[in-house]
Formats: sequence, C-alpha cells, structure tokens
Amino acid sequence: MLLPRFFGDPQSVDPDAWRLSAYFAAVTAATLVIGSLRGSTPLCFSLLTLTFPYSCWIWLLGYGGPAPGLIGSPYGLARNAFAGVAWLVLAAAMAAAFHYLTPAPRPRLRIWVRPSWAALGLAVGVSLLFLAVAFVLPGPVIGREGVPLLSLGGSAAVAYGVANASSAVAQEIQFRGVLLAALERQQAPWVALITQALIFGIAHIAIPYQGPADSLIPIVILLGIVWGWVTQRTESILPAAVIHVVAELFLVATIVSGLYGH
Amino acid sequence: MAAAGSWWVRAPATAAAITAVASDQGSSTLAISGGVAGWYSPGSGRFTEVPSTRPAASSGPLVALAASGSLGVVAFGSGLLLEVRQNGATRQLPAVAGVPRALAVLTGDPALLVVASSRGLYSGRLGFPLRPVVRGDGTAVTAPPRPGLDWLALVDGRLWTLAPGKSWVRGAGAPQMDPKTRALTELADGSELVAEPGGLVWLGAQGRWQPDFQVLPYGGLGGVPPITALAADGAASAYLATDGFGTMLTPDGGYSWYRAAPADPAISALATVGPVFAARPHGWVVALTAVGPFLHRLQALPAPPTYSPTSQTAELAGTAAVTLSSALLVTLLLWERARRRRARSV
Repeated sequence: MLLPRFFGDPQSVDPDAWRLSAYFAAVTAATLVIGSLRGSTPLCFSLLTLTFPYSCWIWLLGYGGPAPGLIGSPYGLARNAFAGVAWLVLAAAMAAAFHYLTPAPRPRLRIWVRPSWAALGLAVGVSLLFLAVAFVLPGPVIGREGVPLLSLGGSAAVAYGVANASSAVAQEIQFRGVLLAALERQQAPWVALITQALIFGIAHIAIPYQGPADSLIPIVILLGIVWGWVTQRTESILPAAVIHVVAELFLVATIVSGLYGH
Repeated sequence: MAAAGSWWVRAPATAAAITAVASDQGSSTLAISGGVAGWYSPGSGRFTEVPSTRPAASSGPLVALAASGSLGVVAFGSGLLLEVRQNGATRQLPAVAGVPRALAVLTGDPALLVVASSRGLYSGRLGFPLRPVVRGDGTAVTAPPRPGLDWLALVDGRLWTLAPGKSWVRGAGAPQMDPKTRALTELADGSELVAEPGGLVWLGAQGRWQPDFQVLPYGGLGGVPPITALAADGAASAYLATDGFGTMLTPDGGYSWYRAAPADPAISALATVGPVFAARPHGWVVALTAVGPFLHRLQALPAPPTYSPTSQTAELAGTAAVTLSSALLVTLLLWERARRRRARSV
C-alpha cells in the first residue's frame, strides 16, 4: 500500500494520489485477467475501494483552489460538503460492485440495517465512552483545548457536519464493510479484525495525515479495532458508523485547530 | 496555518524577573521587574529601571501600568499614579480612589488617561484630576488601537464605551459578563473581544455580540484553565493567554483559533510590543510565566521552490514508472504464491 508513496512528490505532480488508485486498479485488473489469481481479486478490489474514492475526494476539494480548512468561505464550505457526499456515494457504489462482482460465497458487507437493542446500546455506549475518554485525557496531549464557536455556527456547522458525517460513513463502508469482509474470506475473524485496523492506521499515514497528526495514528489503529469489533459483534456497520460520526465531529470541533496550530 | 509553536524563545536573564508588561506599538514598553517599573525592550532584552517608581510604604506595591509610545503611567496599590517618560522623567498624577486594576493611556493633545479601580471607572486628561464615570468594581480598560475608535472598560462585568468627542455610555448590546472579567481588547477594525474567567470569549462588532470561543476543561477533574489576558494585534489578530493551555491565536478576527503555545503552558500575563503581524520588522508577543517571560515573533516563510516543466515531466514519468513497476511486482508475487499453492495441492 505504501509502495508508490516511497517515490516522493516534491513537485506535486500528483496531489490527489492518483498513483495509489492506479496501482490497485492495475493489480486488481491483473487478478481478473490471470485466472490463477482470482482468489486475490476481493482483497485487491477492496484496497482499490479505499483509494479511488479518496483520490476523487481530494480532487474535488482542490478543484478551484486549495482546501479552505477551518477558515472557509461559503463556496469553500459547500465544496467541502459536496466532496464528502461524493466520497460516500463512490464508496457505496464500489461496495455494491464488490458485493455483486466477487465470486461466491458473497462477502458479508454488513451494510444493511439490523435494528437491535445490542446495536443501539453499543452505538450510544461506545460513543459516550469515546467522549468521556477524550475529555479525561489532558487537553494539550490531543490538541483538545477549545471550541471555535463562531466558525462552527450557522451554515458552517451544517457544511462541516455533512462533510465529516459523510466521510465517516464512507470510511466505515470501506474499512469495516468491504475490507473486513475481504479479509475474513482468507483469515480468521480476529486476524482480519487486527489487519483491517492496521491498514486503517497505515492509510492515515499513507494518505492524509502529516506532521503533528501522526501522533494520532496509534489512536486511529485502536479505534479501528474497536469499530471492527463492534461491526463483527452486531453484524452491521451502522453502530460503528454512529460512533465514527461522533468521533469525527468531535475531532473537527475541538482537535484539528489545536493540532495544526502546534 | 503555521503558528507559533517552535518560535517561542526564553527571554534573556536580564528580563527574568518581569511580572507585568504593557502592550504598546513601539519597540519598547513599560514593564515591572522585581517590583519596580522600567522600560523594557524585548528585542535586546534590556530593562532600564526607573528608580522613582520603587514603592514606598505609604504607596503600596505597583499594581498596574500602561504605555503609549514614550509615555507611561504606573499605579500603586494606594491609588497613587505616576507618569513615567522614556527619557527617565517622572511626574506624580492626581490619585484615584480604590485599588487600581487596569490603566490605559493615549498620547496626543491632550493625552488621555483612564483608570479602572476597585471603586469604579475614572477618566480624564493626563495631569488633571480624573473624573469618576461610574461607581463599581472596575476590572479592565483599553485605549483605542487607532484614532476614531472607542475606549472600552469593564465595571461590574458591564461594558462601557467612550466614542471620540462623546461621553462614556454603556456598551450597546453587550452581555453581562462575569464581574471578575479582566481580559478585554479591541482590534483595529473596531471589533471587541472579551474573555470571561470561565473560558468563554465574546466577540462584539457594531453593537452585535456573539459567543466566539470556549476554552475546554483541561482533562479529568482539572476544570477550565482560567483566561488571564487578551492582546490584540492589528485589525484581525489577537492572542489569548490561559493558565494551563498556553496561548491561542486568532489570525482572522476571532473566526478561528489556533494553539500558539510556548513551552510553559501557565501564562500569567500577555502583551504585544509593536505590530506582530502587520509590519516588518515584526514586533514581539511577550508571555509571562512562573519561569520567566517567553518571546514570540513571526518569521518570514521560505519562498516556495520553482520547478522547470522538464523536471516536472520527468517526475510524472518517474511516478508512473514506479506505480506500474509496483503493480507488476505485486502481481508477480501473487502469481508465484498461487503457483506454489497449486504445486503443493498437486
């Protein structure tokens, strides 16, 4: 996964990391063409499902200028929200393709709603636990020092809410849906759980995070394990998606500005 | 936003005993070091004591100070006020009732002085008896950052304003603040920032006030770190000091806030000396801590590199080659694994 990233991009000829998508597309195509490699198709396709929507998201964010971050014009806010929704739609479309195109037995994507008290309890309970742990940790350690109320009010709150909720659900489809299902076809459930969490962490190193946010990678891996366990336990990605949305909104509201001002 | 994290430096030992600094637009300002006032230049670290500001038994300790160019005023616990010039000249001013909590002075013709004391707000021309504006517990006062803007003061948690050529009036639309609020500043675009000790920062502009920023609890049972100071810089920037989270910076008039913390997170006072963002050479931010002052100054960012189209094309080709080679390598590895599995099963 990190192989194409070893060749750096100092002149920014590939700011959207299309090379990652091209790499997995090529490998997936090879597994489809060469009959003896068909068994690897689900895993390769699941990795393509991680990278292609991401490249599209970055491209949409950068289209028409640099991403605005927390300082956003109305146009920048709308673009953030649109890019987040596009990421979700692409991830869902690729999950559907994964579901219908991979050979039988079909993988368990766990995307469909399975209402149960256990799922609801886990979603609410783990979300509250996440917030409690985050507030107990000393603020400077994770950059949780204040809430910029003004920039989170009105249309900005809606735009950031839509953008981050969409990307959180998209990531659950990609990692706890498609990737976990692909890994479970070849590995024991607990090995698949750990593997997808490690890839979740590596993806955050390989793709968007740089600089001070690297310190969050162990936390990202731990969250990947928790969300994967909740998904396996409830046979649905929805509780994990709820917890991820809560975590994402908390991250944007209280942590991002602290980290990047460091 | 590359903020201040690694750009803070410890002030030289000559400034280690400083316990209060006045914000000012020049290269030096008035400060209190070892209980005595003097002129302090953050660039050189030099502190030039003004001996006549040494407290006497009857005057009480130095409790507040303000500076505007080469003019400064210090206040003693007894209410005694002393004018201090950068050339070393001093002059006793008419005293005010109560314990002074904050001063603001502005050079001009005439120079104006406003004092917030434990008995109320006092305002008038420098060198003349100050007129009581309102009784109460005055906690903060700030001079206009540019001509045409208002003076601001806090008395019993209520905002008072003085527009040019008018009288002091209650701030229109301003909410009732915590009576202990001492952090008050005004940006050069006319907007006002007030930070309550409980961590809530208010932003006011043209009579419209809204919550701007909320400091979060430290963690566990730590509570919210108290806000100790606010210092404006130019039309859009301000630094917020906390006793626990260091300083935070807004570069865009309070819309967003960034961590801009020195090594020691417990900041007791904060001042800007010279314009920090606006001009070159940049001014200084002085943050006072229990281990001495820390200094911050913005630095020029390196110019972005320029690349020739040829080298960009070469990198694009290299990127494509590495991507395809990686894909080919992984395919070969998968193929080899499949071949071995087939061989084992046969």
